Amino acid sequence: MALGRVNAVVVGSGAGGGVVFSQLAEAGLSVVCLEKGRWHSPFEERKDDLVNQRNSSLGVAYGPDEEKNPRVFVDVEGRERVVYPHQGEYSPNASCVGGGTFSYGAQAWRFMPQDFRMRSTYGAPEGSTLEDWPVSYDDMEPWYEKAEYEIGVSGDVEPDVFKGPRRKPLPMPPMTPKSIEYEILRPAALRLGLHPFDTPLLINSVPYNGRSACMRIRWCVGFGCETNAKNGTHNTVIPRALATGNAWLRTECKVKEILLDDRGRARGVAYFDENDRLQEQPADLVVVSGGATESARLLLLSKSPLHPDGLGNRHDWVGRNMAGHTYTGAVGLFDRETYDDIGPGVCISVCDYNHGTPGLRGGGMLANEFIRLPYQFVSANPPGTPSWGKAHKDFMRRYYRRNMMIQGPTQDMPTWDGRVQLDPEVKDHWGIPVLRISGDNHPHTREIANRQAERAEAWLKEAGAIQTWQRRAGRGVSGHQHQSGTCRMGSDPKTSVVDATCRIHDVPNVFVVDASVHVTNGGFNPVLTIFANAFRASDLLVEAWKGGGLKG
Amino acid sequence: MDDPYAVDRRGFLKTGATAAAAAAVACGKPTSRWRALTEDEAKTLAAACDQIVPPDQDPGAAEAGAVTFIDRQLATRRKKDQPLWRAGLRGLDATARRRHGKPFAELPFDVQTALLQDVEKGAVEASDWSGVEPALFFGLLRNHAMMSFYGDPRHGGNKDRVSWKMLGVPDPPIRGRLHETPPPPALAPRPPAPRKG
Repeated sequence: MALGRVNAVVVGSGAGGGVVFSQLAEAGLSVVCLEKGRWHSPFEERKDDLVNQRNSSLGVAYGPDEEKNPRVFVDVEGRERVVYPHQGEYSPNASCVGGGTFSYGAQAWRFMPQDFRMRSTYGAPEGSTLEDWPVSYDDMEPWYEKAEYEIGVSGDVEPDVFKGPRRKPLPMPPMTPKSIEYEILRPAALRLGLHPFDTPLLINSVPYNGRSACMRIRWCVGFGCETNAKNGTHNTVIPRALATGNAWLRTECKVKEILLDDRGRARGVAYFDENDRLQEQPADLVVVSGGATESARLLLLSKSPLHPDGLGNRHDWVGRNMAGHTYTGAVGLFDRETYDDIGPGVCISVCDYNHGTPGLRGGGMLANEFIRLPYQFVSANPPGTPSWGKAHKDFMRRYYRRNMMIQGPTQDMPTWDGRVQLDPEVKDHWGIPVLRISGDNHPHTREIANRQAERAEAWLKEAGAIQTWQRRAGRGVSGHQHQSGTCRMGSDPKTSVVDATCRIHDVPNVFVVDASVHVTNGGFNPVLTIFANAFRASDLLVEAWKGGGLKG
Repeated sequence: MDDPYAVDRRGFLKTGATAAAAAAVACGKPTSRWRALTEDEAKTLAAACDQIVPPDQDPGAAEAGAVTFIDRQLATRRKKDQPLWRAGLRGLDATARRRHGKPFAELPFDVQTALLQDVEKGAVEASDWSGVEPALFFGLLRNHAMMSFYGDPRHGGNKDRVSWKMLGVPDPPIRGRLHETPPPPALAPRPPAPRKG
């Protein structure tokens, strides 16, 4: 059954889709946003230590459905198996209104100017597809500012001498009171000659945009915020879109493919609605914002005589270059109490190690870790000590309240073989081929990440830890919640999927707006860059729409 | 969907009778108090969980509800893992009988410890372990016993928040608010999923 035609259909309501949805609606276009998951209310939040996005030992809290959405994972030895959303190998991201932004840790990082020019700055290591973005930090700056003000960011980045130029400070001051970890780690960093500062967070430190300030509980990262003080698309731009009267959000809608006409242009999408009935939504243009895994999947699924290998895939770039982050760091045990139950936990960071180390192509930000819930601490025992039994219980009693962790996201060197593709056999609940994830992280990424672990350990030692150890880099393609890169943005249609306006090179009315288009993913949590790029791409899209270039 | 046991007070009253009836028919092992496990399996499991988190000045895993926790998982989310657990518990007992002539639960504490260390390393007689790799079973056991003890009480473990008291995690964390649903009856069926408004 075909529904009434609209100007635009946006697939996904996360950091990318939510922003585009609002910007197109506010510009006067009629817009339908199709979200695969449910709309969770912050007020139904019940904080389950074992069922959330940070620790999904018993299941994921915000989708996707455990049984209906399998994937295939191929490990570095080439062994493959079917995986489910609660497993790390799945590269899960929340599937609900707001996407990852409903339950994220909400760190609000701008990339640095060098992060947009990685190939020019360092040259690509052998075996990597490292490249420059077709846009610069200066192009992004006004949009970063818009994201900071319209979504809402607190913190104080003034002491960060490594940041790119900015016109305005952050709209909200950092959180007070400071935690014990902050009071110990800040002077330690200063003694090391580093430049510590208050981590920018998409969390209200004061009432902002009609919602209240953070109440500093320990259930933050991985959970929805029951005071609604954590800012995502679900409580900022999406309500704005709906308020226009020309925007509709449909939940539990699984998009099957982008429908194409005989000229190779999109004419809408086909999807399964909440009752699994197949629907068609005609539209003048389609915006794909499903996250780096699912956006690539949708393009690969959208085949036609003019696009036999999927939309935008003429040169086999869709699904390639998947990069999240290789996380490393260190754990330190202390002989004094470090636990004060003041959430969210992460509060102090340094950018001294993002760039500028001879021999290393970049690096990453380092920050202290979010509050560890008790079960998350059970595998924090020192290497070589018992992981169960009486000794382990003693360790828990002694150190649960006397430890700190520092870690950070090392900027990945993307690779051609770190990828997602359609699995030839396994299908999901709706009979659609599922993703097959394969590849490895680049050896140079691991080299940088291990240096970061040494630096984290040095910081903890300076802070007075009585015992420290590193958490070093593991193998395997990185994806997870920071997934990016699978629909690369670039000027050359032969080596990228979308152009600098996020439009697919050979399809005039299909756009990809999420971290899929990130050429590289910075040494930072990527969400503010997704927001900023979505504001930028929406602005260009509206301009093109008004110029008449997009109408069928 | 985040908690299949979630039942509010009204739901508790409504479903109480159905639950009792369902219990009578749904339980495959009429002589067992458990939803998925037999009495013998539960006994072995309790002893094994107490090895992971032993009782000392604070309660151990079994007293805190580890068997309830694992049994619930095996009856719901991890139903498909039942064969692995059964094979593993059988393997534990078979190894105990071969080496010491008694089931695992009847061995002295230190003998159990030594035996489980061998299971962890895979250093046990393979013929006693058909259906599951000993090391894989040990991983499942360790993780689930830890989850039951240190995780949220709503899943049947961490009775009276015993581990959180032991660690000194402040409680209640939020004044004027219960952060979790009160514990449901052990056999309550899953309520229908709420429709979105």
